[in-house]
Amino acid sequence: MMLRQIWSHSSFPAGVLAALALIFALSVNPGLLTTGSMIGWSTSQLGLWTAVLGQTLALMGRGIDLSIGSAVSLVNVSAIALFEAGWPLTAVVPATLVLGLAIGALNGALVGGLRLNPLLATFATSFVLLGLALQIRPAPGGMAPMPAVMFLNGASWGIPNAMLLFVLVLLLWALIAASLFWIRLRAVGTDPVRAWNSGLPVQWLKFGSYTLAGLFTGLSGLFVTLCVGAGDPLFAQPYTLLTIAGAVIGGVALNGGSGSGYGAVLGAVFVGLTSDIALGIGISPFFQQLIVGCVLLVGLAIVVLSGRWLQQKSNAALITASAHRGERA
Amino acid sequence: MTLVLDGITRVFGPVRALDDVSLTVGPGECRALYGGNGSGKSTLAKIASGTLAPDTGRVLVDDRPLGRADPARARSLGVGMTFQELSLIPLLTAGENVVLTDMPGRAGLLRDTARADQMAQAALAPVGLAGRRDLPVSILQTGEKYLIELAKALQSRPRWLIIDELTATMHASEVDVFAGLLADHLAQGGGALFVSHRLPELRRFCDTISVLRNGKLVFDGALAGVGDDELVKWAGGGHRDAPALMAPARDGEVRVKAKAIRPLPHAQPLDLDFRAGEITGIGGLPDQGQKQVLRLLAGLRAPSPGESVSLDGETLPLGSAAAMAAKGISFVSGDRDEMVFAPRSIRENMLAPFAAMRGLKMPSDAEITAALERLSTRHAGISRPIGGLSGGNQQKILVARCLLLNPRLILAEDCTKGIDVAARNDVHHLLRELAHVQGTTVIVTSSDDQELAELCDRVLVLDGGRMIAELARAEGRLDAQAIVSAYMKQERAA
Repeated sequence: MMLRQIWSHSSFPAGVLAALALIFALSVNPGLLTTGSMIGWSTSQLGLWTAVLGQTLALMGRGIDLSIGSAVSLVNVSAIALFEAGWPLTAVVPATLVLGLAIGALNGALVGGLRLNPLLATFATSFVLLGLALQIRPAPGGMAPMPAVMFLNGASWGIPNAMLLFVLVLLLWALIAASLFWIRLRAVGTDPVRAWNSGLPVQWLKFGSYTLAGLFTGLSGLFVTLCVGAGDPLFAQPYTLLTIAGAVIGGVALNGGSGSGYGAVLGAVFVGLTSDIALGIGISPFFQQLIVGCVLLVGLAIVVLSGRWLQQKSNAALITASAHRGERA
Repeated sequence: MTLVLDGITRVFGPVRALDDVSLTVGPGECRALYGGNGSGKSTLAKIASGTLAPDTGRVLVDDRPLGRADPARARSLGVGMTFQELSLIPLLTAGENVVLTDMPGRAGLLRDTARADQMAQAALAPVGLAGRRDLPVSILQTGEKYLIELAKALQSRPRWLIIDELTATMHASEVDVFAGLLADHLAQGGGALFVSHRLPELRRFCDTISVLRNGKLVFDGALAGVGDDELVKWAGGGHRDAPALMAPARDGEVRVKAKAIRPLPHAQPLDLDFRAGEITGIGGLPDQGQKQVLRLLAGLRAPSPGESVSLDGETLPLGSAAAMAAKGISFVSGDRDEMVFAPRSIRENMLAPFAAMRGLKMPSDAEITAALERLSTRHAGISRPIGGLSGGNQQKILVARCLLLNPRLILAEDCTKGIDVAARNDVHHLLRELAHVQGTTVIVTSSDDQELAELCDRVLVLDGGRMIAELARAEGRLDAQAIVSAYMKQERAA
């Protein structure tokens, strides 16, 4: 029973992929398990892991967010600007989250309120946000307060603080996944017309999904700022497509309604590891993109094909189980 | 305490779907809403439930106006609706679906799963499906889905229940469950608007009736005072009486030989023969393998080991719909989601199979129009999107397409689902003509035993993938009662 539930979960293939990639990475570079390496790895990935949860929210309501990379960049350079203006950390943290929420609400108003196509609307906002980020800081630079940066690049009980922080993010996600909002958003993502006919506030739920995604964008921007310790308007640009790839490999459906945040994180871990491994085994940088791209394609194919098969198996198992319980009407 | 629809008008593009229609439903009243395809029944039902706003006119629920399109408000005013196309979310479980809108929360934010499960159990128990509440809706059977749709509508304890073609694909036993719940609802002072094409069901459930014809109200009164003939006449065609049997089936040669087919995965292999010029129906309780037989012959289901089918002595390439179509096999389903390219024109929909196969001559517009004429299909030009037509007219176009293809074998899967009597007669007439005049082999399935009895020369009754009865008209053994008793006997014996 338990076993069936594990392998039939939408994030199971991504979990296997991430585990395999991790084993491979460790065999290539056994030093990866040292606290120092773990800190380096987790601080380089924390922003992506957090941002992929935002992307998952947008995808779940049959939307997509092409502005995530630019939004994280904007939060990053804004945070640095605020630090430089003398704001203390206790003020900058809420400010970044509010900025993230505001960006999310803007996307939400365009998609949920004006009913613009999510692909085009967020594609457009991505340029607005990137433009603002470049206005604030055209080139990398600036500095975040050292104690905070040191904390994020440190470890407690041998575990990187960045990972511990991410556990808190996952707890926040657990709350969302257990919420009324989440199941309704899944209904909207699966079939907006039926959700509307059922009496659900479809447009508000879409607005909510983008706004909440903005919260994770804000967190991601904050983490990038404190992990890197500087502002860079282009640092997070790849996040847009990496979060989509991670979420989809993690079992989140591009047309909404199915998947989970945990799967998306596992997908993002896999996506992040592939580039690390390519780097670790010393592939020529000229080939690196090619190799990473091919590994992603293989990963995607495995996830999609095995997902289909597992779904059939689990449906059959469900039907059999309910028949065995003698519960046929 | 009434549900009032007052002077409702609704226009879609050039079509006046509803023209100044008024009706009232009182406590304890079950009012039939009846009319032909495209008469505006479904549109009116949607307006009554707040999913669609009228252009003019108003809906009053217990004296409170509904206003703009807002199903949530209609629900809070005490209107519940079951949708013909279902409002269930396939990925969610039956239980989650039933309580989706009223999902109980803790602190208004988190789901209270224990209480939601209790509510789901309470809501699903009356339809006998409480045990299925943990299964995703997508894997349930069609009849079960419609019962869950009913449970979902009743879950908010509405005073006014709008029922749009709920029973169209239900089996007799499921209709009985519905009948019990409806009676309770009416006994408690609720009212209902019952949209259906099935005259026996209208007579069984309703006391009053409103008849729509081309968007206009043509009759409003007691159902007992009107005869079936009048109703059929109002529903559209009407010029044709209950379909007269044409020439009895010719004793054609065996055209289709199915060997060792397994309608259900664990069933015994079955050999079936189908003759030229013969209409064979496959009946039984829902989902006993009828669909699997048809879909195997259509190339839409991968064959199990050992299964083989030959057509005129030639072994068929099972498992490929395209290859089967090229051999002269046409498939038409009553599930229009699966059949129709909704945004494309009628012409393109008619030509789709021709475009898919090489070496076929495309029919001209004149031929297309002529084929549509023969089914008296109402349309505003073959360049218009098929999605703008009523379900019944879309269905007729799909059948008319078979006429152009002139296939050796026609497979019709519940192909008159949710279409009115007149249109159904047109479709039956055409299938008969194809079989008895042109010698086409026709195999049909239907959830309506009456339809099988009227249309077919021979009915095979399946149960759990086994053939438990073969009823032939030539032997005088074919009527709806015989079909029902065949599978009911089986059920009692089991």
